Amino acid sequence: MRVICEKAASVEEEQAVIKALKMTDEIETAISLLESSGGRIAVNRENQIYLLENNKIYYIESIDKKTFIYTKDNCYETKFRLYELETMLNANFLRCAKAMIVNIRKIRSVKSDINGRMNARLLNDENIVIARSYVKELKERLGI
Amino acid sequence: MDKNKAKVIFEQTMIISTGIFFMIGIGGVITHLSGGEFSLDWYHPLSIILIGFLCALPTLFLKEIDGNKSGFGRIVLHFLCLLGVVSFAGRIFRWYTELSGYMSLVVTFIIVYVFVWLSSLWMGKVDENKINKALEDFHDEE
Repeated sequence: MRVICEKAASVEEEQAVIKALKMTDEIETAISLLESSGGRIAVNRENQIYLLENNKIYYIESIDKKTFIYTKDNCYETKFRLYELETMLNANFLRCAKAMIVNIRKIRSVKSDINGRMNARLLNDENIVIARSYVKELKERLGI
Repeated sequence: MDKNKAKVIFEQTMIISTGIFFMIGIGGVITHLSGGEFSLDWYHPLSIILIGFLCALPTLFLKEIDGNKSGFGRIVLHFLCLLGVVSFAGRIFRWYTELSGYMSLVVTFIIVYVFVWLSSLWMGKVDENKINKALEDFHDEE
């Protein structure tokens, strides 16, 4: 397979496009590797420590100076603060409220609310609020 | 005051002032076409911008005290705060001197209030459609 690698102008423009006649084990491995290249975060749940892949994260919330990371079905705690995670995570993650970061790739749809806020429905059917002041940033990330 | 709050106040001031100027403009055209005289005092344009600013403050205040809730009661409280500001400022700037003048001010205020809400809702709906269309290609498959 011919491999082309070009330099992207920004983090937002980084992408990998694979054109293949059919899905093979090698390609699936490559996709899995690329998808997990965003790194992992050390989290704990019920006194067990895990390394959570960033692309499994739905959203992160700070409550009473504790930081909780939510995946499709689970909730973990991490020692990192929200502002630290913001710098550790890639451009798919967006600050959507004062105490919350959301993975844009896990947003199924949004619905506008009064006061310019958006109610976001995630892929696991949970709902979160995107504050008015962060809607513009979301649009920019989506290239609107 | 952080940048976002200043931005909200500025945007609200502009939207409300534009709405009031628009209504006064319409009023001027109607008065002229019906043969009447229409004029503004020197301080009216600036007083309108000041009203826009004062009306923007309750919006921000209500967001601060109850940022995660929405509902009819909140809108009614917001409406009454703004009506209070407009009535008080209208008295100071002599926009009305008798009851009939005050009633036309209230009617104008209601029209501007509805205009601002409808504009905001429409802009929100446009954003919603654009974002949802972009998300279709962007979100993961689960």
